[in-house]
Amino acid sequence: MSTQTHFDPSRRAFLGATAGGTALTIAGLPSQALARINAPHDPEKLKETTEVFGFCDMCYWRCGLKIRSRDGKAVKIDGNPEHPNNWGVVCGKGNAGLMVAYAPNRLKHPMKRVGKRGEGKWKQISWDEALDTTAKELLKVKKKYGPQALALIGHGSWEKPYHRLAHAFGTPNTTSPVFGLCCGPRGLSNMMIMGRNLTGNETLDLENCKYFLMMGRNITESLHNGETLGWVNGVANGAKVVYFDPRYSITASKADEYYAIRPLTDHAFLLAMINVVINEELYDKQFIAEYVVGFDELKQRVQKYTPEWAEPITEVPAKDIRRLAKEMAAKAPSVFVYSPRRLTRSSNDFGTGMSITILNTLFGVWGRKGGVFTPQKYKVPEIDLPEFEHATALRNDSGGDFNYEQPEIPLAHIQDESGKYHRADGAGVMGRWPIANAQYGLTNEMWRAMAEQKPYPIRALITAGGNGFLNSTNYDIIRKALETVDFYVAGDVIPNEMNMYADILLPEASYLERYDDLQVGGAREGYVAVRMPAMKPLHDTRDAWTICKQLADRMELGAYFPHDSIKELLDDRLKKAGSSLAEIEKVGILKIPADPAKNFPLDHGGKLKIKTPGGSTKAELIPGMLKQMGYDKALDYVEQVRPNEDEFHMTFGRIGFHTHARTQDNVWTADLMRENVLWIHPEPATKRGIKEGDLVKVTDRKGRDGEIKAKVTARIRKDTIFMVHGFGHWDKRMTTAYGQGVADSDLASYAVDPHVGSMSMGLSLVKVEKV
Amino acid sequence: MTKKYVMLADTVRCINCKACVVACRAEWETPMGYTRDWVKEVEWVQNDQPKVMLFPGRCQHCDDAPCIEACPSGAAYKRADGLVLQDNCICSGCELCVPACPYEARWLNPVTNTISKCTFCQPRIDKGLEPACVQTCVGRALIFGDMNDQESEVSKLLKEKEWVRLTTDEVNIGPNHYYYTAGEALPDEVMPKLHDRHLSGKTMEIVNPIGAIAIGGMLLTFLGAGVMKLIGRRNEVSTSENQEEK
Amino acid sequence: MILFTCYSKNLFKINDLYLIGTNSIRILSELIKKVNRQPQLYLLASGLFNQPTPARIENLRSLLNELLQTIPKNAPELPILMALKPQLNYKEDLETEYSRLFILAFPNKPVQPFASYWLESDQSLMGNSTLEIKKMMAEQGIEVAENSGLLPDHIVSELEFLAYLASQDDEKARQTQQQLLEQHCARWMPQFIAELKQANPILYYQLAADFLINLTGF
Repeated sequence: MSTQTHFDPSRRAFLGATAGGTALTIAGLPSQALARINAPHDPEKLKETTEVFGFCDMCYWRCGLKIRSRDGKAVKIDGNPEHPNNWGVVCGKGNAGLMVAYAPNRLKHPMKRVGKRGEGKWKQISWDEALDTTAKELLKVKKKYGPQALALIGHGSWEKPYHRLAHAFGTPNTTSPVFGLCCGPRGLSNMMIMGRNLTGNETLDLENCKYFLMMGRNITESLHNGETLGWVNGVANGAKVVYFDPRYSITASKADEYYAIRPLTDHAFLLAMINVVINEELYDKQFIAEYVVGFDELKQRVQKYTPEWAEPITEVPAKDIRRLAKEMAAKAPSVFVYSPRRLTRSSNDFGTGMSITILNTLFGVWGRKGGVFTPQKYKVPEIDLPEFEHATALRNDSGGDFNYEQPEIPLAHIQDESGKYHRADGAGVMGRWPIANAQYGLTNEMWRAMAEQKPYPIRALITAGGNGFLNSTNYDIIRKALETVDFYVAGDVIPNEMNMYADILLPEASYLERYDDLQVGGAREGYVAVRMPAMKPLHDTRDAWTICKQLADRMELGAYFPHDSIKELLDDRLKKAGSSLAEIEKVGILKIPADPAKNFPLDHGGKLKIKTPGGSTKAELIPGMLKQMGYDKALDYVEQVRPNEDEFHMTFGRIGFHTHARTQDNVWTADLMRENVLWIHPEPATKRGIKEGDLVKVTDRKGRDGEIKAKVTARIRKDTIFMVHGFGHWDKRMTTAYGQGVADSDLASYAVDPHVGSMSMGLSLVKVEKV
Repeated sequence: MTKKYVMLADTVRCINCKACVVACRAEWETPMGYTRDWVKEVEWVQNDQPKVMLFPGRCQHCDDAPCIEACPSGAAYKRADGLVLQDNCICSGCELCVPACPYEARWLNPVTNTISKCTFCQPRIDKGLEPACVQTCVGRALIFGDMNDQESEVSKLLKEKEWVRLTTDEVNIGPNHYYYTAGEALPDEVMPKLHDRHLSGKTMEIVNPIGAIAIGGMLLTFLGAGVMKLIGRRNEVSTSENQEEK
Repeated sequence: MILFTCYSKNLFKINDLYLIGTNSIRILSELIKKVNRQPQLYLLASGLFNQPTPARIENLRSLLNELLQTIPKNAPELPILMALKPQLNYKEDLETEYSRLFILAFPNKPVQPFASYWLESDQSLMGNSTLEIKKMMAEQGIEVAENSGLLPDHIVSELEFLAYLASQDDEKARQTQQQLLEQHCARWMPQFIAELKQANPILYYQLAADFLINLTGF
C-alpha cells in the first residue's frame, strides 16, 4: 500500500462494461500488438547474488545471518537457519542493517577536533595522523598518571579488540553497559544462588515450558529473536502466560492473565509467591532435598510476606497470588519465572532478582525439560597472549554469560600490595562494589569516576560504539566526564551525542563490512560462528581489530596483536579447535549437537553440577557469601516511591523495530516509527485536557523536561506514563533522529542499587501537562 | 494437480516486529513512502480490558481480482497457481487498478512508473524459496504454500485450526490470504472496503454526460498509451519467448 | 601528430586500469597540458570539492595559474577563475568548513556530495545510481581506487571522470561524457549546489559552487 495518500480518487476515470480484457479486442488494434499482448508475461526477476555468513549487530542477541551481495554491495540480510540464536528468522531491525552501511551520515573519515570539545568543529585527517595522535596522547597519559588512567567504555560492534588493547595498555578500567545498566542484578542473582549465570543468551527450554510467570519481560517487543520464537512456540504448545506489567504491551495481548501491577513492586509479589509456595508445600521436595540449602532460613524470612500483605502494595489480589502459585506447582518443573531483560528499575533490583531465582529454584526448573537447560560449549582456545600486567579481570568468550573469575583482591581500596590498581568503578573491589562483575564493570560508576576523578585520576577515554548520554540517566555526570579527560578517542560507525565530544574520531567499518573475532556460544548445542564481510568497507573506514592492532603497534603492545590480519587470528584460533577459517566460512557455524542427557541432566538420570561463588555445591537460597557481607538483607522488601496525586511513574521500554539509541537514525527503522510518544491513560488525560496526538510537556522532580506527543490509551495504568527508549536525540549529525521525540534517559532516575552498584532507572516521578 | 498458493497469517504468533515489512522492502527495493506488505495494529477496550490484535497484510491474490478487470492493458494478470502478477513491460502506469483493490494493496512505483504490489515473491517461490516475509518472520506467523497439496504445511494447518478471510457482504472476491485469530472477531479496521468510485465492471455512477465523454476519451488515451508502450517494449522481446502459448 | 594521438590515447592511463582518487592533481594536470582546457576545468572542479589539504590547495593554485595563462579573454569562466585565485591559499578554516559542509555538519545538515543520496528515495548511499556510474567507468577502463575513501558517485569521482572523458578523443568518450552530464549529473548536482549555497559557505565554497554551475550549465 502507499503509506502516503498519493492518488486522488476524484481524478480517476471510469471504465464501464468495457473495462479490462474486452477492450483489447476492439477492432482496429494492430495484430502485431495483439500478438505481443498474448505473449508470455515478463514479471519481476530474482537477481544473482553471492552469499556470506555473519551475525547481526543491531542489538546484542546476535542472530546468525546469511548476507547476499551483488555488484560489491550487500543487498539482503537473511537468517542462518542453523544458528541457535534465531533459527533463520531476522527481525525488522536486522533486516534494516543495510541502512547502517549505506547511511549518508555515517562516520566516513578519521576526524580531528578543531575548537572546543563538543563544539562540533572537525578536520578530516589521515589514518596515520589519527592513529599516531591517539597513540601519542594515550602514552602521554600513561607516562604522567599510569596506565590505569585510561578507561574504555564499549557498547558497539564487537568491542572485544578494544578491551584487549586497553588491558594490554595496562588498565583494569574497561566496561560495557550490559551489567551496570541492564542485566547485572538478575545475572548476579542466578550466579549467587545457583552458581549458574542466567543472562545474555538465556538457556531456556521455552518450547516445552507450560507456565510463564512474566515479571515484565516484554518478550514480543524487547526482541531476542530465537528466544521470542521459542516463547511463541511454547505458547502455541499450550503454555499458560501470566504477565505483569504496568503497561498492556503486545506480550500482554497474548497472555492468558494480565496484571497491571503497580510499578516497582514486583519484589513484593514474588516474596508473597515464595511465601505461598513454601507454606502450602508447593515446591519440588526432591529437588530441594538434593540440591538446595537454606530452605528453613528462607521459610522464616518470608513468613511476613503474605499475599494479603502484598495485595495493597502490588494491587495483585491475594487470592490470585495463591491460585497462581498452585497452578505453577501443578506444571512444575516445566515452568519459568521470567525476569525482565533489564532489571535496573527499583531501589532493590537485586532483591527482586533473588526472589525470581529463588522461586525458580523452589520449582526445580534447573536442568529439566521446560525449564532451564545446561548449555554446551564449543571450546575454541584463545590465541597465545602475553600476561596482562594490571588488568584484574580478563574478558573471555562466554557466550554472553558474564565471566565471574574473581582473582584474589585484598581490601586495599585503590591498589593492592603488588601495586595493581583496583577498578576505578569499584566493581569487584572489596569496600566498594564487591559483588559487581569485574569483567563488565559498572559503567555508570565509571562515568562518575571520570567526572569526579575519584578514586584516582582517569585522564584518557576510549569509547567503542555506545551512547553514554542516551543509555545513562545523569547527563551532568556524562558531560563532566567527557569534558574532564585529557584525551578522548571514539571508534564508531555512526555519529551520536557522545562521540560528538571526541578529540579523535575513528570511523569503523560496519558489521557488514568486516571480519570480527569469533562468536562462541552455548545453547543446547555448543557453537562457534564466524562474521564475514559482505562487502569492502565503504569510505575510509576500518574494522575494529585492525584499528586496535595499528594502535597497539604504535604503543609497543604489538605482542597482544601478533597476527597480521584478523583472518589470520581467526584461522589460528579455529585451527587450535580442529577446524579452520576456510571450513567455517563454508557453513557459517560449527556446532556440537544438542545432547539431551547433557542439556537436561535431571531428566536423564544425571546430576546437576553446582558451584556457587560462596563455594557451595548446592544452591544457596540465602547465599552465604551475601550473608557475610550483610547483603542478604536485599531479600527483604523495600518500600518503593509512589507518585503524588498529580504525578506519574515514569516508565520506558522497547518496541520491536527499534533498539538502544541507534536505530532512530536508521532511515528504514525510523520510517516505521519516527518519534516516541507518551502513553497516558484516558482518565488523567481528560483531566488535563489532553487528546490523542496533543503535544504535552513532561517534567521530572529535578526540573528536567521535554515535549512529546501523547498517545491516549487504556493500555497503561492511570498512575504511570510510558515512552519507547532511545529517542530525543540532539546531535544534528543524526539527521533522521534529530529532534524526534523525547529522551527517556533525561527523565529517568539516577540511583544506585545499594548492593550491586547498578543503576536504578525506574524511580523517576513526573508531571504531564498539555502544551 | 494445479497449485493454489495461499498465505496464512497466525495473528496469535504475530508480534508486530515489522520484519516482514523491512525484508520485503530490501528484497524488492521498494521506495520510501510505499510498502508491499504491512502489519496493522488494532487496539480497543472490551469489558474494561484493553485488547490488541495484529494483522499482517498484503495483496490477497484474490480468486476474482477486480484489479485485473480494471486493468486496460492486460498488465495485471492471474497465473494458474493463483498468483496475481504484474507485467511491468506492459503496464502504462495509468493507476486504474489502484482504487479497484479493496485491500489497498496496489500503488504506482514512482521509480519505475509501473504498478507494484506483493507478488507472493513469485521470483523466489519459482526457485523453491519461501517468500521473503515468510522466511524472516520472527514468530513464524506467516506460512505459505500450496493448499492443493494435502501434505503441505498450509493444508495441515487449514485443517487443524479455524482460519478466516477478510471478506464482507460487500467485498467477497475470494482472497487467498487466511487469518487465525483464535476465535476473536475480525475488527472493522482491517476489513476491505470499496472505494467511493470503485471499479468493478458493474455500472458506475457517472455524474454528468460530459463526464462520460471525457471518460471515453481518457479510456482511449489510456488504452492507446498502454498499447504503444506494449508495442515499444515488446519490440525488444526476442522471438523465442513467443513460442509458449499463454 | 602521431605523438599527439598516442598521447591522447594513453592520457590518464598511468596503469592499465586508471584509478580515480589516487593521483595528485599536479600529476594529472601535467598530462593534459596539451589538450583543450575542458579536462583541466573539470580537474579543478574535482579538486575544489575534495579535502582542502595544503598540498592539494597548492596544486590547485598551480593548475589555476596554468589555466589563466592560456585562457582566452572572453572565456565565460574567466571571472570566476579570477575570483578563485586569491582563495587558493591554505588555511585551517578551509578544512573545518569542508568538514562542516560535506562530512560532519554542525549545526546544519551536511550537503552530501554523493549522487545516490539525492537520487535514492531513502537517501542511502550505494544506490542504483552508484552502480550505474561504476559500470560507466568500468566501460572506460576506470575504477575508483580502494584506498581513496571515495565512491564512484562522489562528486570528486564524477568530476575526475568527466575530466578523463573530456581528455579523450574518441566518440564513445564524448557520448559517455554527454550521457553522464545530462542524464546523471543534471539530476542531482543542481540540488546539491542549491543546498550548498543555503548552508552559508565561506567564499571559497561559494565560488566553488558558482564555478561548478558555470562549468556544467546547471
